[in-house]
Amino acid sequence: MFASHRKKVGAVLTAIGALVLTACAAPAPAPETTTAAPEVSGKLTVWTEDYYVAIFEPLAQEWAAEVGIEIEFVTKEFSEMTNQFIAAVPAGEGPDIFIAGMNTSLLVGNGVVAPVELGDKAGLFSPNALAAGQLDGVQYGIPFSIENVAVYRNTDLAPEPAATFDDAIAAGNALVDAGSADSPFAVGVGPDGNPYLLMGLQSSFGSTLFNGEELTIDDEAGQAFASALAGWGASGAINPDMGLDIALNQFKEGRTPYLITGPWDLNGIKESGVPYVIDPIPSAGGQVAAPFAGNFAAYQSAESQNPLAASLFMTDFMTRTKTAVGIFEGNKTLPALIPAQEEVSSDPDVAAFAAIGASAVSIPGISAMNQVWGPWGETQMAILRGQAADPVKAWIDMGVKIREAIAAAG
Amino acid sequence: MKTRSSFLGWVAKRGWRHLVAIVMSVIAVFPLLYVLSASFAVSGTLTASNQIFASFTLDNYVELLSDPGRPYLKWWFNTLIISASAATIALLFGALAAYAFSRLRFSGRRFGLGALVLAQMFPQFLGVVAIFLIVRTLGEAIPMLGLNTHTGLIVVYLGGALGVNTYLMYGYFNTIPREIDEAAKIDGVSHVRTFFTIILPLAAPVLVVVWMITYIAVASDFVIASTILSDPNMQTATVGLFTMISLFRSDNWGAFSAGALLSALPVVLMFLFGQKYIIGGLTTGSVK
Amino acid sequence: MLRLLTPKPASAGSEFRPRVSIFGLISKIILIALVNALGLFMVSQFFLVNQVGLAVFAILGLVIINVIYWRRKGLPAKYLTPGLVFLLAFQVFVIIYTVIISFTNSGTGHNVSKESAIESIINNSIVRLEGSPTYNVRVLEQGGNLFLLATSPDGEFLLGGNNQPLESVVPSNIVSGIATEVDGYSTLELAQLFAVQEQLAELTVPLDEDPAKGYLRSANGSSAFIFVQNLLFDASTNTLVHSSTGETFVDNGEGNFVDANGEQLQPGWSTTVGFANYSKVFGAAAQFELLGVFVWTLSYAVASVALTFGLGLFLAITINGLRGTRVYRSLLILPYAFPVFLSGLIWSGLLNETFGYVNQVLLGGAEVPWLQDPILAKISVILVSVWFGFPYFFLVCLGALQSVPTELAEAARVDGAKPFQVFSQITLPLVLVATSPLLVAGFAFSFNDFNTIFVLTSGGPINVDSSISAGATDILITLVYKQAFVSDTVDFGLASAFAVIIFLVITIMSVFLFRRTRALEEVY
Repeated sequence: MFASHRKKVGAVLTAIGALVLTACAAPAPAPETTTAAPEVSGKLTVWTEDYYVAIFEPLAQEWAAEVGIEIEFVTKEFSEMTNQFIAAVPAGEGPDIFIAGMNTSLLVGNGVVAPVELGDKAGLFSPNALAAGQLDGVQYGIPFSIENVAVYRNTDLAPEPAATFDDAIAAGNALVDAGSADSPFAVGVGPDGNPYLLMGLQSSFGSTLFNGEELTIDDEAGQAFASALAGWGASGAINPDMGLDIALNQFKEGRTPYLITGPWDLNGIKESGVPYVIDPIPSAGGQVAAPFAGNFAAYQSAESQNPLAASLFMTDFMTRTKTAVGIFEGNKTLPALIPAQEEVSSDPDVAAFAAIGASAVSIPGISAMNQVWGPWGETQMAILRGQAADPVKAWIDMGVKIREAIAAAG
Repeated sequence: MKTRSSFLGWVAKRGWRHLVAIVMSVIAVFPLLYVLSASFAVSGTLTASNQIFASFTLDNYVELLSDPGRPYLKWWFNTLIISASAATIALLFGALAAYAFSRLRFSGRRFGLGALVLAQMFPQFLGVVAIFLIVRTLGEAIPMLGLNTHTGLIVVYLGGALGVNTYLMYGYFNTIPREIDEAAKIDGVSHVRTFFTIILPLAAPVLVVVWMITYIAVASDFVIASTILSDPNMQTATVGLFTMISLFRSDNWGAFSAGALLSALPVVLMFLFGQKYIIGGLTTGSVK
Repeated sequence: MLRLLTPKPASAGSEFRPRVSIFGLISKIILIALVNALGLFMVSQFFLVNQVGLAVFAILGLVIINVIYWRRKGLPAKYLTPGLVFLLAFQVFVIIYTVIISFTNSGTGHNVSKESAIESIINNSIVRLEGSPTYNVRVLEQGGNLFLLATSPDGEFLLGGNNQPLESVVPSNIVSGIATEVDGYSTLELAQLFAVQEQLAELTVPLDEDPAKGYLRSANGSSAFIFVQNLLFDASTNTLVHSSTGETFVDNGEGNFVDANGEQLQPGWSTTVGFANYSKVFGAAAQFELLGVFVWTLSYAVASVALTFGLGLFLAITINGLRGTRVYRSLLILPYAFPVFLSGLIWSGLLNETFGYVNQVLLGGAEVPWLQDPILAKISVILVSVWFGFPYFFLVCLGALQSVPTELAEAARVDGAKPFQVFSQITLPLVLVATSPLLVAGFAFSFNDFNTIFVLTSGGPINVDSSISAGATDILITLVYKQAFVSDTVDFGLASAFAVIIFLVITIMSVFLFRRTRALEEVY
């Protein structure tokens, strides 16, 4: 439950952080200053979250020593950092490099990232991941990891993979009835809904989010998912009270046979000693359950005071196989760099995630997507909790809200 | 029979008060036991399990204090320095203002007093844009008051602390009989000395309370501190600790809990030893 | 007896002239000298960085401070000034500035100044010429200017600089087919390039006299690509023009360049939009639902403050003088010593319907929907806010109680008053006089108590029928948050407009409450 609260904490911070730095964007009552530019050093500043500071810093320091520059990592709070970055760059307070989940349209739309020309090195990257870092054909983000969720199955409790989601729930319920499990299926949706984790189940109904610029989330396939969701909430197949922490903890304690989560929990689950395999998400609606493909990337600030050093970071450091393999050692997530993919493919877990990722769908790289997440999660939650008397109507209403929001945002 | 009735008498007179105190203490402390438990727990979650104190390890504390990427000790001392400085200066300024409102008569006194508190009611949460801008602009001219400095943060807190503090002390000063300063005046003691040597000592309880309230408010502030301090070496514990618990990757709860506990320690100790001034302060200089 | 406590009007006019102590005078001179020194330093610094406006302010402030402290009269100002300086700089300005933002469209997509937006748009339109080759380059320096020495894929050697198109050159040194040196120029190594990296970023070498052919640029100092700039800014018409298609983008007056079809170029910029944000606020306000949210916000604030204060006062009195009182007191302030973020997370965990400790352990597996049922959730958030806040009033009341003269209570007791009468007629009124302003401030705080509500319920349980996405426990400020900060998009203009209006509402209510407070003070 707490993990997803972190999103909230972050949300608060988002506001704060965001608020903060745009300061300068608004018409400042103080006159513009003409201070001398800070001394150009070749010292790069990198902003990223705690998790990636630990993974990147040793690799980047080694590289920086080789190139002859200094590099400093600043730990930012995960959910506030994007907005802080957006706000800080125009204020001249931002870093040179920003490492985060890909959100190219948002960053370009706010004018805070610079284009990067990879030249021939573009061919080294998985095309889909590279495309997520582009807008209108211009490359901004250099991807490093490709992430998707899957089902972790406890092989003691459930020796055979479930063919369908209904089979999984039936097997899970049998275990609960026998007293050997607490929950038939674990997915951390509480308390605010988690469309990212549930996308696999939703897409198995044939539901998509957009067709080009046109919203398709509320079509018949989406409505079918909404009805199913109401049933799962009522039967306890998906428990809306279960947050990320509880879901993970139940799996680690062997109290649930299935868990939907990503590679970021791999190390923790290994340490718990629970015997597991990684399965595709079982289909609930008859079609392939395709989870989201999430991409992580490095961006160069539009206002970097160290354009050469930043550019080297992007086009040299980020394109080295050694870097990509080093990052993989830390996050156990499929590298976006093809030569590194080949080097790490012997790891069965990575291979399993990658195989599932082959069918993954990219998060639509359009700015309208920013208006989708909020109502989407909220509506899923209301349906799961039975607060929406008619789930199909709630789903259609959600579509109306999203359309209004997109129209309002221009 | 006698002991029984005296026991009942004790219950009626004092026992129920102990009962209230114990029940409320339990309610106050219980949720925090989770934090304590998590700080000693092997698993990295906060309360995913309902068994508290199921495991014991000091690893979280070791991790907290030994990670160079998260200079917790620095955060801890930063918090102490920033909070204590801000509380002390704010206390002085507030007391000066409260003395004026309580002892001097001037036009706009009533209005001024109200305006002070009203200014503080602005939803600060939405005002940080401006705070950031001011501090950044100040910092361009005077680096000591700029972003990423403790002094810059402290002066911001001084601006926000005046209203309620002044009012609290004003109320208390009003209960100190004016005859006392009148007498001093007749003796030829200057108003400044009256304030520092007569009024302030008499007001010790409220001074301690205001100092503690300000200290706690500053130490637990996230909004402004995270706005102004971005360098990990300069941050306060509250700001630093939150960077440890990012979405999805939740292995830091143990160290986070340990950090939160250690941060609360000075406040609790201060209160434990400072409360005698709150309670005992006026008994000597009581209304004569 | 109560007369004793009422402040008497100052004996104005009959000013005693106190003995001037040498020590006092010297300290005063030293203090003011310090302030002046610091002030003058600030003024000079402000001038140095061209902040003339601030410098004028600072000079004005210094003059006023000196007048205040050197003239004989105006004693109140001498006591008020230190605090007021900071109040003006950091509180009043914040409010003024927020009002300014409320008239802009500042937020996602309108994040930078128009200048930077144009710069960004143009930079983003500089793209590598499709299918163009990679050049190996060295960066040369001559007379402070940078030049690119390029070796084309065909093995041709070229030299050029800013506004100086590429021309064939005979290099003085060639390493494995790549030109590295030219006589009269010095070749910069990577380490030297860092010192001129801003200059390097500006280095665009035209291929030819015709700029449409493109430019050679090198981001890393060792390889270069041919870039073409697709968009050009025409300052005279305030438009952006596509260099090859001729398509024109015009300033739409709302912080964006748009083409004839209304297609926008990203990014936009922050600009003034008049009362647009306010009409949005009142557009939302026109909906009946907002009234419900307002009533709940008010109820939450009142209930939370009343209970918090009541419990704090009750405990302060009850525990006073008990054996072990120090331990009790220290335990009771614990909730206050932890940030609300942390304890809020714990409470939402404790109250989780299926997995929480309260239902699972204390209530033996009951499924009480503490935070899920609309009514129960309202009660829960109030109770948890009391848990967060009672130590504050406990502390304050502990202090305030010390101002209640024991003689009063003793006298009343001798007169035969019952303990409860002593409390309700002597202790309570006196404590209220000392704390009522804090109750008003506490009310204002609870009115905007974003943290408690957001961490506990995010405003939920969700009401799917709500057209403004207002959940059962949403208070105004959490609703503002939902309206102004959707996912990754933020709208500072709208949020500021809301903030200004909320501030006005609270101010009006507080003024009303203060009037009552004053009445209270006059009674006792």
